[in-house]
Amino acid sequence: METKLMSKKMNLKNWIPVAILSFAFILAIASLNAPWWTVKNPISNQIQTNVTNSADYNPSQTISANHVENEPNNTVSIVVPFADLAINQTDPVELNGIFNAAYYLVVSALIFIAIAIAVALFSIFRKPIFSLFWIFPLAATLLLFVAPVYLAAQMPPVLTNLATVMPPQIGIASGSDVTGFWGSSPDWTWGAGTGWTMMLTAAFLSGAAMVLVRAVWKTVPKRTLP
Amino acid sequence: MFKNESSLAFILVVLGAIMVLINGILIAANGAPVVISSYPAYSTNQLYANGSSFWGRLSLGIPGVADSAWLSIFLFVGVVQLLTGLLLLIQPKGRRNLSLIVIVCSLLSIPIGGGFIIGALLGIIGGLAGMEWPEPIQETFVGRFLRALKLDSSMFKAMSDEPKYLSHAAWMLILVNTLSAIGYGIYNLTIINANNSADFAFNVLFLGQISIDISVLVYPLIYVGLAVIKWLILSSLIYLIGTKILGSRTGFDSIATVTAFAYAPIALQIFLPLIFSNQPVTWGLAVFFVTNAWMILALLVGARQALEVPIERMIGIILIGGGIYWIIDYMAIVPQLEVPGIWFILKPATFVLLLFSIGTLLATLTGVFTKRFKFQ
Repeated sequence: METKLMSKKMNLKNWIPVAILSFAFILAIASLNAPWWTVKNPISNQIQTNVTNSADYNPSQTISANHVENEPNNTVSIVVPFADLAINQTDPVELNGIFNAAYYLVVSALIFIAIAIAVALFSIFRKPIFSLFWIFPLAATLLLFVAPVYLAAQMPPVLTNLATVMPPQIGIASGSDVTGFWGSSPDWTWGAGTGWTMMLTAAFLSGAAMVLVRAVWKTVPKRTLP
Repeated sequence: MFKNESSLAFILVVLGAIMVLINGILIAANGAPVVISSYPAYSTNQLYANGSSFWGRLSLGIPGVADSAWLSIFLFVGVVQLLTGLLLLIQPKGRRNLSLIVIVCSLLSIPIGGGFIIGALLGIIGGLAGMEWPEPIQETFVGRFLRALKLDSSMFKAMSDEPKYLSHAAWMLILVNTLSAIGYGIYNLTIINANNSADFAFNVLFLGQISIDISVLVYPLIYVGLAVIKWLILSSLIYLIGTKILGSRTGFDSIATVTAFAYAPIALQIFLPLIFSNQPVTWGLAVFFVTNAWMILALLVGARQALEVPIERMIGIILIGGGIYWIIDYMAIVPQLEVPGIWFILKPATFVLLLFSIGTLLATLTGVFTKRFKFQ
């Protein structure tokens, strides 16, 4: 009996969905600590001038901006709230609202992934308890997918109204140039940040985990009456 | 599960997919392809100035993909590759066709760096091996290709003993020359465009840009067409020297099979466009020399197994047969047909004949023209 239980635990097949769910969980957590949107001078400009100006829009509703100049060695790093960029004070509030909504979507997805991992572990160590537990990764997938799409759809109209999307201490990048989530002007280029990409990858992985959960735990043995 | 060697193919697919995802996220963090160069440089003028030492760059990703919404689609492709690999690992039975999806996904991952290139390679190898599941990976077509690269004499022996492998050899020849032609095609086109425009040269060298258009597809047609003729010439020469002069009883099919598999290292020319430098011909020739030297070694190991002759005599056969082949190929075929690509052509012709005479002399000293020998 003990050997049978051990072999069940050691069956790597059962651990695959857990591994993918964990990978998705880690990426989703990391996405809450990495920028969701970035604006910087173009790479070709960075190489030719040896200067990098960048501003990262963080989930903490702040902007981390950097000016890095290699020759002479000169680095400026600042962190400012969204309010510092606006002409109209309703715009930063709107941007805060968008970031808040996306943040809660990701946190909700994290809860669903955690539940899915817990149920999967219970199914490995004890017995399959809930045949429809693929619903949890499905919910996480939907939430994690909606969050970046929501950001990509809602951010540009608000950014367009900002006086500058780059803190003035680093440079002036007019908000009116920003017509889409991704784009470029002769002096600036902008698009998704690392956090946004990790969020989307976590959504894909969570979807993959759902398929794998279904493949591994196809059926839960029904209880038979004595 | 994971007990038999057949699962190795799918483990490679999964590892490859993980690398693709890591590479993709790294590109997202960088906001552009990851360009690794041999030393810092700021302009093409600096690189092309007199006295500039060799500068080369490796680009993981293609501009325009890494810095746009396209990256999301390519990451999705990476996750599909991971999912397919895991599904195959869990239950390979009846799902062999999923391997085709793995191969397509691996190829599609190249614009986002292909998992540091290694990820895409693992995916392609695993996918191709998966199509022949449950054969162990070393007994699959791609496994034999890798064993040919490793100069595995037991593989060449098995190839020469079984006439059925002649069809595999023909496929190998097509695959090898298609890959080589794509490598040369992209490299040539990019170099031509870079020579015509300073801005494009900057993009190639510093941003990781490459040129691909429909003209690249012409190269495989030319290369594969010529490869068959070159294969027949080389196989016939080795067969004639081995059987008529040395008295070996090996059939032509055995020699032709091992010769085709010996071409395997030439496929590595697909990696030519990975690196662009301020000395494009130097890099092109380096790849040409390394892959051709590797092919000669493979031919030495393979043909020796087929002919069953001692190694020193096999060197002699390669010197004479290879010498004649080289004269036909690089003095007649390549210049006459104006084959596109990077070729090493020696001039004047008298120098070539001198080298051939030295080769023949060395072959005589190794005992090629003496029939008595003992194979060990």
